[in-house]
Amino acid sequence: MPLTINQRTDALQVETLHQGFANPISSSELCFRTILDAFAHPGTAYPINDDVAALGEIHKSTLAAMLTLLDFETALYIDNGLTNKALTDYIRFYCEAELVADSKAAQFALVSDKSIDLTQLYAGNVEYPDSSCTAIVNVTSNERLPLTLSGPGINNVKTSELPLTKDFVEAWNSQHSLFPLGVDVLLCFADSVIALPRTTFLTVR
Amino acid sequence: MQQTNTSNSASSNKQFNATLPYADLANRQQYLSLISLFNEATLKAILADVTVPDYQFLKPPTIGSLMLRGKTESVGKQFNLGEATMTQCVLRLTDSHTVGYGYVLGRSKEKATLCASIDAMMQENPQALLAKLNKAQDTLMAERQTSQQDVQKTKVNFFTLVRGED
Repeated sequence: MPLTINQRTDALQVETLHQGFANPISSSELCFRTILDAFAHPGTAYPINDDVAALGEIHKSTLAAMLTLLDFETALYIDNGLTNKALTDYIRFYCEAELVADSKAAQFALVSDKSIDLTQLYAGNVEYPDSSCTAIVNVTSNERLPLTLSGPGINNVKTSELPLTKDFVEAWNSQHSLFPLGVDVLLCFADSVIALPRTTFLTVR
Repeated sequence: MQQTNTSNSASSNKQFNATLPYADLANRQQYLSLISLFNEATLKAILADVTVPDYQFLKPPTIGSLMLRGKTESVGKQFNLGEATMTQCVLRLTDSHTVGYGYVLGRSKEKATLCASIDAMMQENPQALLAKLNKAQDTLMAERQTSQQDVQKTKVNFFTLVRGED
C-alpha cells in the first residue's frame, strides 16, 4: 500500500499538547512486550504501564498502545466518534503517523467497542496477510458478553467476559473463512489490554 | 491532493539560504540554524546570566539516526548518502506554554536541551539573548576564518597541460 507524505495545513497546537511517554524508549519497549504477551495469550488481561495519562475518554492503555505501535510508516484511521483536535495533534506529534479518512487504507484503526465493524477494516492480501489492519479498541461500555475462547495460545478452552456484541462475534467467526487473512483486535481497558488474534474462536455461552 | 500541493508550495518555495553570517538573528529559522553549529560551551555561555524558566519535556532528549540524502551535482535523483546520529528534544515552558525545539547532529543530549531552551526563550523575549547570539556568531566566523587561513597556507595548485585534442 503506497503511503503519501502527510500533507496537512492545520498547525499543531503544541502549547496545549497532552504529555506522551515520560521515558519513550523504555516505556515503549515494555509496552511492546506486554502487547506481544497479550497476543500470545488471547483473552488474558495484561496490565499496561502507566507512563502516560488518559486523554479525555481515551484510556492510557489505548494511548500507550498507539505510542508503541505507530510510527511515520503506519497509517491510522480514527473512528469519527473518537476523533478530536487534541487526539489528532497527539498522534501527529508523538507518533508522526499518517491519519487517513478511509478505514480500508489503514494499518491501524482506533475504534470504540460500540463502533467496531470488522467488515470496514483491511484484512490483508494473500501475498501479505500480515499487512492487515490491527484494531485498537478503546473500551468504554460496561456491558460484558460471556464467551468461550479457543484456538492457538489457549490451553483447551478459556471462558471470559468481554465487551463485545453478538453481532461482532458473528462477524469475527465469519472472518475465519478468510484465513490467513483477517483483522487482529486489541481491547484496551482503563489499565489493561486483552488481545484477540485472528486465530481465536469465539462462542457465546 | 493537487489542491494541498498548491497551498503548500508557497512555504516550501521560500528558500532558506543557510550561509553565515546571518543578518537577522531574531528570525527563528536563522537563529535555529546558527545555534545548531555552536558547541555546548558556547550555548552554556549564551544562557549564562539569564534564568531559564521551568520546563517539562514533551520529547525528552533522545538519540536517533537520520538518513542524509543527496543529489548528484544538486540536480540528479536523490540518493541515500548515509546515516548520521542526531539528538532531538522538545520542551515546553511551565508558565507560558511556549514550546522550544532542539534538533542537533551528534549524540549530545545536553546540546539538544540547550538549543531547545534557547529556542523557547527567543520566542518569549528575543532581546535578552540577541546580543549574545550576534557576538557568538562573530566569534564563530572569526574561528572559521582563522582555520581557513591555516589551511590556505598549505594549498597546492595542480596544473594540467592541455592535451592536443583541440
